[in-house]
Amino acid sequence: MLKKFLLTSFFFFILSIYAEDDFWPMFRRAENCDGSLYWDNPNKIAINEWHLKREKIKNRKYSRDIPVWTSPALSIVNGIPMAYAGGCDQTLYALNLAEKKIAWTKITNGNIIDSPIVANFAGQQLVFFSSSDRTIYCCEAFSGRVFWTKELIQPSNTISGVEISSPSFHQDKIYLNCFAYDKSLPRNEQKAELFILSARDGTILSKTTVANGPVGPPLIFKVDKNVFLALCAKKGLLLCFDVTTIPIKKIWSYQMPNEVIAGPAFLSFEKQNSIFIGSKYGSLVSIDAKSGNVNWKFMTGNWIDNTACAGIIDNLPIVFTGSHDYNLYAINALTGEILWKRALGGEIFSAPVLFKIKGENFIVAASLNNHIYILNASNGNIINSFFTGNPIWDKINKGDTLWGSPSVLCAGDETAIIFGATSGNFYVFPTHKDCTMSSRAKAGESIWLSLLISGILIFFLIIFVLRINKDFS
Amino acid sequence: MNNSILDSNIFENFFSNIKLVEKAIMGYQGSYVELLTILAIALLAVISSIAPIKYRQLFRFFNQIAGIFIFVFVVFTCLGVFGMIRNFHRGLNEIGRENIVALYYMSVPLTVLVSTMLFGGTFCGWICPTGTIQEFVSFLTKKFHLKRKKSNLHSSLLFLIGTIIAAIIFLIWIWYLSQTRIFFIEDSCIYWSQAIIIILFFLAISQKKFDLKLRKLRVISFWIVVMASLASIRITSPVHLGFAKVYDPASFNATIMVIIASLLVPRFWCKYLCPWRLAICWAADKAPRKIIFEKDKCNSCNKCTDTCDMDAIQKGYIRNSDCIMCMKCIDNCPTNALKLKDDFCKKC
Repeated sequence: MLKKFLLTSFFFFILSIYAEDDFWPMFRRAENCDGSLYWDNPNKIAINEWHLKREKIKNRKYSRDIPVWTSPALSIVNGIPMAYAGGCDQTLYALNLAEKKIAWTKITNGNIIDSPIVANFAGQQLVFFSSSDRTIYCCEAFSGRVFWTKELIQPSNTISGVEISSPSFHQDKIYLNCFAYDKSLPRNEQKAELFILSARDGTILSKTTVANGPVGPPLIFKVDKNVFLALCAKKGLLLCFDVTTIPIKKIWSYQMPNEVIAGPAFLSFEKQNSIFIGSKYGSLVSIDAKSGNVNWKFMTGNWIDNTACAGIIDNLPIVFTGSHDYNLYAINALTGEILWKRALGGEIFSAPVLFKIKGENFIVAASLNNHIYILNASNGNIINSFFTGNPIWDKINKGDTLWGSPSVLCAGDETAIIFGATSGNFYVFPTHKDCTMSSRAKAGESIWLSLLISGILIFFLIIFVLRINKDFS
Repeated sequence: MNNSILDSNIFENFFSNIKLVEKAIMGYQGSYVELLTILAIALLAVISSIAPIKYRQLFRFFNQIAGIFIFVFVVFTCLGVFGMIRNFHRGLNEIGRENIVALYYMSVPLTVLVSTMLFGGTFCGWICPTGTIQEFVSFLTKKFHLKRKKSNLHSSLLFLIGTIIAAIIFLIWIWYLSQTRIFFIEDSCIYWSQAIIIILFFLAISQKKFDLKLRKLRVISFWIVVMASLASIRITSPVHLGFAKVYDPASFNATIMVIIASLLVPRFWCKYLCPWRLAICWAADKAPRKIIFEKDKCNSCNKCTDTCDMDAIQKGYIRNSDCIMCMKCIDNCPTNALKLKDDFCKKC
């Protein structure tokens, strides 16, 4: 009997670990913020190119302060690859990537400006997401049935500009930051709070004032046997809490040199546990996760306004970050030395995505020239790029809003990039198949062909202009 | 992992973080409408009217410096002459939808056009940073230009050598860029660089024969930018990198080509390729301010012809389509045969 019980428990334990890998429990999936989900795809389900074009919403004024789409959260639900993303139409979409259809939607009363998460709790696959209607929602991942909702801030005539971060899930608890601008309070008393909720019913287990002003998504990571949470306020205050027990304890804080829009990333390698975070100052900072001491700082040419991602490639810990100086950087996570940098066609606003296929590592990043790039993570060579369409409005507010980043579902030959673009469309780009969104990019070599053609055209144009004048003289 | 030498570029670091401010100064209604930019451009345009005659060229010099400062360190929209046209179209699209956004895009080109309608083409001669850079650069080869003018723009071996050097620089640069980055439609200003090289070769054959005819290319340049704007293709213009916050290699290439061309032909870009010149000409035609020529006072010294960078004046007779209202001809005329005439009352 005991043997059976132990075997069954062990079986479910293994299943739960496996199941946990199918989920997206925090912003950018894991503590290293790689933004990619691995799936062995046993039934060889095809993931094909898909453009989800949203119908135009009449009389809708697209505010520059909200992203068109949040970064999608990916999950395998009942063997089906699913993506979850909120939009500026106040709706959360659950998308069936295999059948290329909207599985379900959930309309809220506010804009969804931060990414949802998908977690496994009590045998159920659940989607947690927040909305600027001051509420966090918990829905069943497959059907969209609402289990519970929790209003975090009471409505008031003086409350405006609510920002609730992307939640994080760990051990039956939901962690998220909430900021509501209270017009009755002076600026220096506008506080953001870290909420810890029960994943079962949304009961508030803990509420801690953390910083002045809006705060980015929380990052959960483990060092030794303790569970820590790192978050960064928009005004640049990076905080680390020990959340192993409630009440939580503040461990350290660090003031970044400028505004921080996104969240931190974490990597553990050879007993060094580091947090990486970039700011609008343009520097990427590595901080020891336990002590809060700065390991190194790396300066780019312009803003860093999204989360970095970290990984280990060929036994070398690397952190990748994109900057508004057009470059994607690969930096040695231990020393801060630059390994490579690659200039893309525009300012890089997205968090990079690190993924591995058949032993090779790749990086995906989106830039403001409306393209997504795939690069070789080892040397930064651009392998492919996709055009994601022109933005639905031209005045993109750079640097004040966390724009949606791509996510990658790694399923061998069915690997696909999933991305909600500022064109209003939601895209699935397969990496190993032909894609109609052929990039407008010209390969470096083909520039010569284009110069030859244009040179001939210009020559004949000049001759034409000269002859026209001659005829009229 | 290699850190290829081709990956490093000192210019990227130079051009990063160039703006003094994070946002347009004096935004309006929480938007980025650049009130200070508009005021600054309007003021610079007015200075052309109020500058004392004796020190007019000195005022113009400082006005041009101020123009560069405003465009490089303050302006957020209309980053270059292509941007003027493109953003004007963009602003037109937003009227009735997002009026404040329309104002944001149209404010700078409208200010330029309105000031041109009032004060003539002074934007080109007194404010435009592209023109200013060319003028300052061509000062280095002033004697060469004067010598060529006096020889009636005959073919010159030095000119041909300069053209070949420009072509070599262009090709090497493109080769370097092709190794390190992907080009996009938005980088199409490299084709304008290419056009600069081809035009230089034609001028090397005979500038006298082809000069005036090649100025019609500005019309084609204008319509290409308009068509690109209608197709929502964003082509960055030369000197765009100096206005933007980031290093734009295609634009940098075009800027250097414009500078090299200006060494050989003063105000090369303004003469042959500037698309904004067409709009300026249209607006200047409406202006009450004109330069008039009193033939009976002229002693045919040709000083006006010699001083004009645009070659817009021949023995006192001015070609308005090329006049940038720099007023060098007026200030250098020994007999005051050229005068500035304002017909504001008549226009009203």
